[in-house]
Amino acid sequence: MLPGEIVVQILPEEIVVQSLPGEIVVQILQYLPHRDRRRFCLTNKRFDNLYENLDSLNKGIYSKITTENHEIICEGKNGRYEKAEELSNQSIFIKTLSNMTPAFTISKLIKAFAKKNIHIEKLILTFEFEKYKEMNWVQLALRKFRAYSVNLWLSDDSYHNLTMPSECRDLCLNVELNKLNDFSTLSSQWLKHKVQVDLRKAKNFNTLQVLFWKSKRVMAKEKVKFGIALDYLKRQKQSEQVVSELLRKCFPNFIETQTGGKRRVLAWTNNIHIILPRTLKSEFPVCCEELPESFFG
Amino acid sequence: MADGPSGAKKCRDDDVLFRVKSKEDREYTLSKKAAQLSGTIHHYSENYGLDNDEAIMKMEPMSLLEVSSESLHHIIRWCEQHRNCPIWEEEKWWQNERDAELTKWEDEFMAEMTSETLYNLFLAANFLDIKCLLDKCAQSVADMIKGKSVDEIREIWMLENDFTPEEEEKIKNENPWEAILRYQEQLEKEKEEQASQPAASS
Repeated sequence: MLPGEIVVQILPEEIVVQSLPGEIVVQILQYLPHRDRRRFCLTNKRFDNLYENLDSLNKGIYSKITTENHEIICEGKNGRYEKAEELSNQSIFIKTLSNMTPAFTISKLIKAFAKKNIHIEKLILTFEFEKYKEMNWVQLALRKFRAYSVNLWLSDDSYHNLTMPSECRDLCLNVELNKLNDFSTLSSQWLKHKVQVDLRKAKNFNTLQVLFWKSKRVMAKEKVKFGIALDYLKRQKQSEQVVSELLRKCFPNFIETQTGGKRRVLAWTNNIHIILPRTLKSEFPVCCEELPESFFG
Repeated sequence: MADGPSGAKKCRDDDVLFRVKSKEDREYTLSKKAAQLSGTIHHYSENYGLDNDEAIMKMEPMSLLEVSSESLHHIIRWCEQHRNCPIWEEEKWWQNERDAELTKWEDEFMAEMTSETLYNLFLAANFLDIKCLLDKCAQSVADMIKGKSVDEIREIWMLENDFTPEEEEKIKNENPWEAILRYQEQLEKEKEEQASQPAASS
């Protein structure tokens, strides 16, 4: 046999290549000419789905990184990270332009930043989740990012199909409410984890109500201790009047929609962290005095 | 003490030995330099404070529950052979021009692998995050696939065709690439037939 010659053998029955992780299959595909790649993927449905997502392999991911409004936008296949250094003292946002972003590719990018001592504060993942159920790459990505304390920003409604990997304890879901139409579909799984709700740009607080109703139910069901904002503020020795004022200012729709009878309360848990507008602090210095600094963006 | 096969014993004594354990609970050792080719071991070392020789010498073996003894043996051989190469996080260094002897060794190494061993090695390299080996495995598997028809690939890799006949037909109709493939195959077939005809007539 010549050096480098590969002998093709029939695999024993117990080996099922179909079970190869998606990222390995993608690596194999990179070495195949287009024609063979297509053939390989036509062998079964799973590989065919992968093939559909291979556009980015053809187009390439991350060969171009441009900075725009403090965001780093990565395109192309061969990573070049030089421009990222320009923002080394600021928050870095990586926006994946392609819908297909295999976990290993993102992971490489992150490592490249880390190597250059660039701290990644936030990672924006924009994706159409439906397409990636098969590859489950989001889960893979989350697992790989664990060491980097990455925040996941979801800018569309894709969150409701996500299941949170149990190992992701440090991950924080950031939600910009004004970008979301409906909170009611938020998977209860997310609420078991740390959820950060950024209200700085929020316009519609009715959706917030849905979230908290949901979280209250989930927490109660799971016998997870949760507090309410009112109680919290009372503990902070704020008067009822001040608290009402604060709530009315923060959540006008919420308060206004209260009609006698059962009083709805704002659920507050250790896992849900709300960021309030900083202007509130100047407008209501007394009632905000006791609130932790971390409450304000 | 390491009782693994020859791969573990080949570790050179100028470097401290890193202890690992296969899923069959067999212990192996590999040099620190060789171990640094693995992203998984690298992170493990960071997390467990194995950043100095003394700590490594005192360490409990790292359990690699997803790696068989056979695969681990090959992994150690690979890593020891590449112990002087850039560590795991270097980007694609193996694609640069490099030692012809090492390339030859790699080719011979891969040629030794049966499909089953290669498959397991691939998974182990993925688990251990050894990028140069992963890349080589991907290349080898791709070489096995090149030039094969869909049915041949299915047969070789025991892949189940889970498309319904309707789906298969739909793919063929929707995908112009498939039509081109079929056309090319037909042309090649015709060429072969034409080439064989004069020989047959003479």
